[in-house]
Amino acid sequence: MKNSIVEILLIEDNEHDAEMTIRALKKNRITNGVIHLKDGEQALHFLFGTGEFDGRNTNEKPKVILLDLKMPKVDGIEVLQQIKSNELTKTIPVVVLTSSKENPDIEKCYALGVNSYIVKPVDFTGFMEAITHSGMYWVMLNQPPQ
Amino acid sequence: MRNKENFSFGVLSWVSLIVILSTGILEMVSPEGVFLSWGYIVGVLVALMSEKKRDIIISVILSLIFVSISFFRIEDEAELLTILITRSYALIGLGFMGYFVLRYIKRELKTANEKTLMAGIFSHGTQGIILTKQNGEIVMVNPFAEVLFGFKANTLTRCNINQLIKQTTVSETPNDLSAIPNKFKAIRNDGEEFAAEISANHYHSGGEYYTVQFITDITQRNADEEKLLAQKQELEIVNQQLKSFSYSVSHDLRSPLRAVGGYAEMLAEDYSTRLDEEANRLLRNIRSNAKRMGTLIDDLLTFSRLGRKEVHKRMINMNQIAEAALAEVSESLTHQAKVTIEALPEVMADQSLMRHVLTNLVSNAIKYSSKCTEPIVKISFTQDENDFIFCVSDNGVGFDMKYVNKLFGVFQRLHLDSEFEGTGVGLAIVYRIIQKHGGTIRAEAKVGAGAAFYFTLPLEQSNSATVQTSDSIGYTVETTRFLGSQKSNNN
Repeated sequence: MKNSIVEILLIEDNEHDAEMTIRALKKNRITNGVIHLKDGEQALHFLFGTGEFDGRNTNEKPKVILLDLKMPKVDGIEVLQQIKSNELTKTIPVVVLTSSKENPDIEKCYALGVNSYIVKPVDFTGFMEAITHSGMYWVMLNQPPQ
Repeated sequence: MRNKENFSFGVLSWVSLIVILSTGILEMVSPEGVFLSWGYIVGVLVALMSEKKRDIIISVILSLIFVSISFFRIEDEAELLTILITRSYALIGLGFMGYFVLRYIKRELKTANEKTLMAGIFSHGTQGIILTKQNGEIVMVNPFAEVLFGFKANTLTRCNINQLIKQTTVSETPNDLSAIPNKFKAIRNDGEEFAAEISANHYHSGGEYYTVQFITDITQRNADEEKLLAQKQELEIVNQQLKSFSYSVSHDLRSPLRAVGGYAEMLAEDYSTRLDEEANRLLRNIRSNAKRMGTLIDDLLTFSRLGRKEVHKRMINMNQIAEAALAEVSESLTHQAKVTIEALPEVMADQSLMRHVLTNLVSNAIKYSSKCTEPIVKISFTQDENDFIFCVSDNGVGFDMKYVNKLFGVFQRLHLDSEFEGTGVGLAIVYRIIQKHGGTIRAEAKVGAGAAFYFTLPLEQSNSATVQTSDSIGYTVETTRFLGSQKSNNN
């Protein structure tokens, strides 16, 4: 991995949603340090410096993790659980982005310690706004623990 | 003289019994005397047979009185009087005897009749009745038990109940038997088992404990129950599938739809200047249709979610609900409308659902009156003996009453999308909510002359026979607002 600081870790299996998310972030000049990982397994390897990310400096923590829930192999709930139950990663803010309003997982996510839970608006404008607001907030405004 | 002798003989014939009774010496016996004395004995016996103690006591006392009084009359030698008195006593005695005899016969007849009727119940009962001793030995069976087990009564009475019913229904201690029916496996004469429901009771008679068992063949009932259970499970599966379907609609359809709309949007953003007018028109159509489909999906999900939602009723102030609905509607209002809210009552209803109803009806009223020069929307209220009746009316385009039956169906619309935007789900949701509250909804309209929607909420649930209108808690009687403008007027 490059030495640049990871600001946003986007964990999203849907490449179109990922593209739109990245586009929204770019529009707000958050371009550097956006890492997109395509599933939960890859995300866990990244966070804990294992597998394909063996040797990564795990002390370099992203300012925020944008996490999709419905993913193949390791789903978002499990990723969240592992992040929040590990001393190394539990202080990283996690924003869950999900497609479904009907999702029964919302309570489960809060119980696991999610920092924010956002339902992706189905229309593009709404989606762009949601990503912009949450991206700006966590990257620009929020003060993470030292 | 002869007459007098006859007279004396007559007297003596009557009193001879008394002499016997008082002295023990038989002086004279007359046929009448014998008849009467035996008559009294019979009378006393009949009385003794009676189960009522009172009858016995009356009979004995009367006999004693009769005997002693007659004796004293003879001592006084007031012969004529004595004869008359004894005669009348005798007649009274006879009367009593007759009464007792008749009553005895009548009672016997009644008992016999009751016994026949009871035997009828036993022999015509549609449950198998089997009487057993404490050890399970069968004493008696009714004809239905014969049908049930396929054995004749004389065969059954040589059996033990344990040979007919797999798990014994005879208990060691008679008192722990339950009258509550239990299910057992019973065996027919062909060796085939059948499901039986048996309730048993016990009693004590002649130094022996008896158990009476009422047996019903529940093969058919079991089959029916199994069928119902299977249907219930099937329904649960279907319901589960429906839930996952709505989840899938919600999740899996939204993503590609967002992508379609999103890429069209990106294309417009990045390349619209390089596309000609026609290409831009096509792009706009893609975007607007993607948006519309998003709304459809969302509305459909709201419909299904509200359909599943439990109704949490409490006393709510309908004026406050109407105000909240108005505030929500005015957020997205593009034109001006005059909205009048009458004084509304407090009702027993679900707050969020009622708000949904009013928001929907008011936004419809505003939408369909938007083409008027002076749109007027009114929320009013009346009541009859059973219901609160709320009405949301407007002076808009209305509709043809010919199509009123289509009004509350899902995705049913009476106007073109180009005239008035909509998905046709709103009124279906309203209909469902009102139905869940035990009310009804109907509409009245005329093309070009506005529409009125009337919905009812049951009075009794709001447990107040007298309407408590909101003005009693500080609301003005009627409020009029001009939505979509700065003007506001309370009168």
